[in-house]
Amino acid sequence: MVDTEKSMPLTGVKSVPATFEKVSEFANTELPKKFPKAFTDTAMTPEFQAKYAEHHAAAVESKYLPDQWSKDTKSFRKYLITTDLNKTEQKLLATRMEMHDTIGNNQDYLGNGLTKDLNRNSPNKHGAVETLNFERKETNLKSLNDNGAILIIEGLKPI
Amino acid sequence: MTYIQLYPVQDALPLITNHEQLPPGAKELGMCLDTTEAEDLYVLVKRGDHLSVLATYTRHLKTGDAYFCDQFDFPLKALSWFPKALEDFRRPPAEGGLHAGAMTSADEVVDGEMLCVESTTSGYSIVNWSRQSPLAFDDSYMPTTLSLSYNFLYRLGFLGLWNSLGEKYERGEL
Repeated sequence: MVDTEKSMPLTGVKSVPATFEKVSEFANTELPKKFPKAFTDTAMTPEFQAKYAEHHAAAVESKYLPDQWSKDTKSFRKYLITTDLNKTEQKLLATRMEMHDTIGNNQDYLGNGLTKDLNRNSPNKHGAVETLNFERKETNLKSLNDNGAILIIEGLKPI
Repeated sequence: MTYIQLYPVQDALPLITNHEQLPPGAKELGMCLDTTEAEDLYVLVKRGDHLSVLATYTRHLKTGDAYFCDQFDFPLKALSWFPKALEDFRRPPAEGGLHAGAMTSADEVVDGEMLCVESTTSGYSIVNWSRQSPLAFDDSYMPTTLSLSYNFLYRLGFLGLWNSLGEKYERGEL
């Protein structure tokens, strides 16, 4: 178990629930010039999210992006200018991918705090409760353990 | 439209459209291949007191191969500024660094241009608020943002190259 109160000064990690509201608030606060409220009010909605997912998939399909994991803003821009979207829509979608690259809310992001179940054989629409974690530097477990931020529970067995 | 502009934008440097055809006066300083997502070649070019980072790549589109060259401009001094700014940005709160969850360093004047370091999900960006992005769609403000993955910076050697050029810059050897 990791004591987040003790580990936070060491890791600099902040966790944010993956809802439209909380992610928008975080982006507005930490990156106010790039992702101001006027942008997140437009982009952090189910309708715009569906549009982003649609165009991300189209950019992969047309081979501008190498795969579904890509967040290559420069190639996505090249894709966008081939579409018949107007300039305002192109700019919003380009900024949305910059948010994907920076914040981590990808094309499968639902905005309801849950992950999307991508297993085609699963009857479920949703997976686990999701948080987005923000860190400026990766920290290893040894460093956390050395500083008393980890409690190792012994004797656990698989269910 | 979406980005908030706080600083004036400087006139753009003449555009380089092919990294193998540099204009007179431009000097190639080094290059590094990023294989993280595809095969994107980054070429660092000195242009007087300025640095152009050329991101060049070919995409094998359904409609045929297409070559692209995007130009990200910075003051030349960014060569020595970035490694130090990045090291400072990475410091955790316990070592006097920024608060937990901070995604950007403070904007800093570097040879008359406003730069900062930002965090991304898989690396860092260098932002130049004083230059229009090569990825802009029109004249509406979009700051230059060069996104670089941990893999490219630390494993594929781009930060090492940038750092060595920064040291040369400080010694007046560029």
